[in-house]
Amino acid sequence: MNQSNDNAADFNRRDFLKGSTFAAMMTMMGGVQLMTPSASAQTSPPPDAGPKVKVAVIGLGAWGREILDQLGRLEKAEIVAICDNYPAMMRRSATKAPGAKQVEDYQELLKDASIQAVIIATGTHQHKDIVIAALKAGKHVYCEAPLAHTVEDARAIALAAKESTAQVFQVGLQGRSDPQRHFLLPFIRSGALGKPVMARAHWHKKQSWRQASPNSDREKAINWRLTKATSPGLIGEIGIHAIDQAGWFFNIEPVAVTGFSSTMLWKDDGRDVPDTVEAVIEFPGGIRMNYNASLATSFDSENELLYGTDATVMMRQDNTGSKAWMFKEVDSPLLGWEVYARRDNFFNETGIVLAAGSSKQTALIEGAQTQQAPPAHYHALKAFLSNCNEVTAAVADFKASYENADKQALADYVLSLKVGQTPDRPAAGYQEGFVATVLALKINEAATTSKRIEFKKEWFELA
Amino acid sequence: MKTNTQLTSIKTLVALSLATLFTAGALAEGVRYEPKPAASKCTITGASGDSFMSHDWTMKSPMISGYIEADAKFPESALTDAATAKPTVHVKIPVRTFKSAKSATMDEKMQLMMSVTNCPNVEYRLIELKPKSKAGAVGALHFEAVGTLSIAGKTLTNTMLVTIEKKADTLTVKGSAPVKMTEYGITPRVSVPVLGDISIKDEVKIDFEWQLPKKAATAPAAAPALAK
Repeated sequence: MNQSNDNAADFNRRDFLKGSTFAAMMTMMGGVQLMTPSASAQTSPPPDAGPKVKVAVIGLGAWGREILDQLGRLEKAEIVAICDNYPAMMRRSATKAPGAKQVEDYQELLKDASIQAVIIATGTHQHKDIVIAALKAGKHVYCEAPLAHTVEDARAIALAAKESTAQVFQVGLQGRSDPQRHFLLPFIRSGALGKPVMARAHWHKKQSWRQASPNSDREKAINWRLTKATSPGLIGEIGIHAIDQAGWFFNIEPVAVTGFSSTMLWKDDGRDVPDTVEAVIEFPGGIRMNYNASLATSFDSENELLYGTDATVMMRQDNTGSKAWMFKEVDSPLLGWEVYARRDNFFNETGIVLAAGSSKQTALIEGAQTQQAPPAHYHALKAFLSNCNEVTAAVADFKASYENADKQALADYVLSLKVGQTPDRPAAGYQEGFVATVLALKINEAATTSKRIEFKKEWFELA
Repeated sequence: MKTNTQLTSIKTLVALSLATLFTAGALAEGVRYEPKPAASKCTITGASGDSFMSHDWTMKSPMISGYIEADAKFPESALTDAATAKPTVHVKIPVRTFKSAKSATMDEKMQLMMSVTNCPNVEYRLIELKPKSKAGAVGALHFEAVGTLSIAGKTLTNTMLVTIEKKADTLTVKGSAPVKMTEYGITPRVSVPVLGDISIKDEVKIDFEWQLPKKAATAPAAAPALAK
């Protein structure tokens, strides 16, 4: 594992204050939103320059269709093809991508040279073959998280992506692209929470996870999440995001996990994947994260909490986008700007809003509380398309400039661009995706076997 | 009937003539230098025009393509006989490769300001190289380069001071050129989210360091095999 590769790895309080000085000053002068320019983009995205990217979506289940919805909002997306081998899914998706070619076989789709990028939203166990074929076909690839349902498949995908240096490979860890979370990152890493104490996250949705189909073979295929042979479980499918985020925010790597799981509600439908899981993830210095997820209760939906000795941050996601609040300890030092920030009450706690539109005045004037912001995966897809354009242009420029240059020189040049690491187009690459996937799979293993697992460094290393 | 002495003289003359011809040919033959990737850089430095929020900005490109063709003794030869040594220089920098390393959105805006769509490259062609170092100088030699600089589709004559040094068959050219954007038809103003339009000072400075190894001679094609 290597969090230190992150370009935003090192923050200090001075850096954070430098970045927020203008916003704080304007807040005092008259109530401008207390936010970073990137956070402002969340509510009024600037027009995108550059050509449209011809993109195809492979896998048209509920999440694939959600991706089509978000692509439809993105100026740079031109959906030229959709792909699924289940006609019902294709029919449901057709209206979301009018004019797009409908292809049943992904290998046929990859032969289309006009398609620049593919977004893979199939079952997790199907990712490997499709990703590797897409990279071989020269496509930019966005692969949903987790990368795979086994460590071996995840490694194969990450290695193929690593070798495809002239293409973009992005993993659907959308929190890594969310401007709201990038606003929080320097705040948390600069020590505004004091000394990290612990983290807690949960995801509760009372639902079966089962999809209906009149055909028994098809039903088995579309319910791949309910079978251990093909499913990384609740931790792999859902928990991967919150667990990745905790390590990212605290900039630390977990060392061990103890897990538990049970099937509390959906006992009689033949599944062998638990509907309720819990894991205690250990980090260095005695910091632990408690994660639980359940399909048997909906109470409190989902949230993530990062506790520090001076303050705790709570992050939540709803239909108005990603939100965060800070809860200060009574003996914590005054940061200054929080005096002007908006506050929300949670039972007998008061949360200071850490979000776009967070000043008291703006909330009164603009009704910022009800403003709908795009979800995190909108930003992840936007970054992907922009990065596709950047790499496509870079490769073309390089080849035009250096006719006789070798492949390694081109790879070095593309790497030097640090695509996906610019503040306004951040994205999780193969390294982050691989580490998060291995971590989630091992935590899922701990949960399903009720064991304590100590992480070995070599599990997270790519050959 | 020619005597043996006469024949020997003719042979000597022919041999000498051939030797002279070959030598002259070798001298006249130009050497071509072509840049390798990742060995060059070009930086545009400017400042925002707003005195309240004024700050310096830079955009860098690591990609300077093109070539220099010159005689074998260049650049030293250009100090003594500029006419003979006169090199052919063509420089091309893709506008899209200029980055600030801060904001991809801002980069795109700056590139659009430079008319990247219609004029994708900044180009330079040398017209004349005037020596500024004394004959016999060694190391980094100073010249005044007069050439045409094309930015955003407009071509103007540019004069700048450069140094040229040859080490181990690699030329290193360094220089700096002040440029006024409005002279190239560029309106120095970008639109930034939240802050609105930001004016940029008209004067910018282009600094470059260009490394060009001598292009390896292409090996003659091997004779095709006649047998299986």
